Amino acid sequence: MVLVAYIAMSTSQKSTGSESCELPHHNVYYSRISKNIIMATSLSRITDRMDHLYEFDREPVSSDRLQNGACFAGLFAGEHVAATEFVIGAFFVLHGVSLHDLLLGLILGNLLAVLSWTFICAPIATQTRLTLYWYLRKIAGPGLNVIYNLANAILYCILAGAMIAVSATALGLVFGIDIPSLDDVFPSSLGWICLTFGIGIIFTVLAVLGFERLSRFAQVCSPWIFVLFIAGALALLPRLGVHANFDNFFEIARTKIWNGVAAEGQEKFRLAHVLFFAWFCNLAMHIGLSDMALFRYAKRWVYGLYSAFGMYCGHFLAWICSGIMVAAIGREMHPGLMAFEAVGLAGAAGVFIAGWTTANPTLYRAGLALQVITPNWPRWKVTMSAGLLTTILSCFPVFFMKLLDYVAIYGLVLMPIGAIVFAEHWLFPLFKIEQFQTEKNKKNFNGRALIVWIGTLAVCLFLPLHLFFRWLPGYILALIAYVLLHVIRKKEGAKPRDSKEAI
Amino acid sequence: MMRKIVLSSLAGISLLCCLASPFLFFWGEVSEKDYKWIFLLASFFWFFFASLRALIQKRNQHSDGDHG
Repeated sequence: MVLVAYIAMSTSQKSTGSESCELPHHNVYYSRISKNIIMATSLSRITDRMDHLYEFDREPVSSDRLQNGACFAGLFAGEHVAATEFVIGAFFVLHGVSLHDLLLGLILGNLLAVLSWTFICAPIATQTRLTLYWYLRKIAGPGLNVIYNLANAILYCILAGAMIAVSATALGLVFGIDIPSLDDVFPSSLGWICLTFGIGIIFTVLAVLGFERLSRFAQVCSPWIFVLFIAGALALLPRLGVHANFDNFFEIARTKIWNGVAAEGQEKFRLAHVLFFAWFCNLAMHIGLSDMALFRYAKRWVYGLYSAFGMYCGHFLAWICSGIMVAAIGREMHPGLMAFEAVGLAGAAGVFIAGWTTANPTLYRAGLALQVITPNWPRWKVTMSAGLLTTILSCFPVFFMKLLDYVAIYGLVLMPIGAIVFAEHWLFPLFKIEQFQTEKNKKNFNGRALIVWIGTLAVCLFLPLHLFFRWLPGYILALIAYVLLHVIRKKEGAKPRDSKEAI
Repeated sequence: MMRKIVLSSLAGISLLCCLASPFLFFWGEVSEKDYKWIFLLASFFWFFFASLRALIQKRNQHSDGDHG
């Protein structure tokens, strides 16, 4: 609601001003017209602007533009070997995960993630050939789409901030700046603030100057970063006491790496934590349906299985490698040091580059989403603003040191939207409920969708479960609640007609 | 086309060198210092050849687009 109020406030001044120029009989009466009309005008301006931004992918993808499977395999493999992998795998070690729980949890959790892409996201994408933006617009209305976009923008900024912090750990080695400790919420030193601020500004300026060039550079980097993970882990194995013939590898892994002992102040994780984390790590993309943008180019829905290339290269191998690295450097959460000890100068550069190439598209997406509330701002100005917000956030180590919790919250916040779209797409025809009522009735807001979104998050907030497990009951609740609200309305709508027919 | 194949091969060899160097260190064939130097040099070549390949690919796409 705060967001709605902000959107209305930020644009109402401009819209009333411009309305006065357009209306020949502008008078006091008009200026006192109900606030609802002004808000509706503002909203329509915002949605018009947003539609214009996403105009290029408004039409469903045509059959001649569909991509082959290899393209999806490469895309997933590149996207899921990123800077965050240095942190996530290491955190499993610090949270005292045992070897058995890690392997089983990652195999099953990643499998569930692949199946979520294959059976939930890809079928809807290949049937509609639309992005989530345009499909959600039909279902929830342009107003709710604006809120969703803004929520996404803020979450993207936080994520990009964490990437900057990861890069800062590498550059901090050069300047001898200590990185914050695991429990730090606020910046621990002036050096850290200056470092993250400097890197944030550089990343932002580079994103403004050449987003596309950087994207191409990121494509060149991704295979090398994957090799960096393998090399780093392998080079540090002798330090842990692994023999050259690997005969004692599992013994060392069980006793010195994933030994089941949590670091001081860290919660102990078990199989369920690892399994659920691997599953929901990209919740916004599969269950939340963000990757409809990708799979609308797929020839068939089974292309969802190609996500396995990202999951088992990045979220399996890379997490294992970073776990080995952190154990070898004395269980200190310091991605820069980890990579430097393992691969030398190339390792530190790798962590810096990984943070940079991951923050770059995230900054771009955040800028794109923020553009809806920045009327007539040029692209560079919006990216600068998103970058500035990201830079400020990156100074706070809490987003980097509590990355696992943040990833859980990120998925949780956007998950109800996925449930709403899923219900409207699959369940409405089953229950014979009319689809896309918001679009057909030309409404700005789907009130029931908003109630389900906020209600689900409120219930999840108070669920007596670990943060990692809350999304699943929340998702089921959102599905049931959304369908139920429409069934009730359908029955209520049918009553007068029935009574008329009876008369 | 030929240039693309050559550059792809050189980039691939560089990446293989990156991957091979930690194995050589792990098996005791090279020292830690040497392994890190090999990795750094191979990384430099990877970036050089892979970037060049990407650049040529982009130019080809542009020229195809111009003709089309």
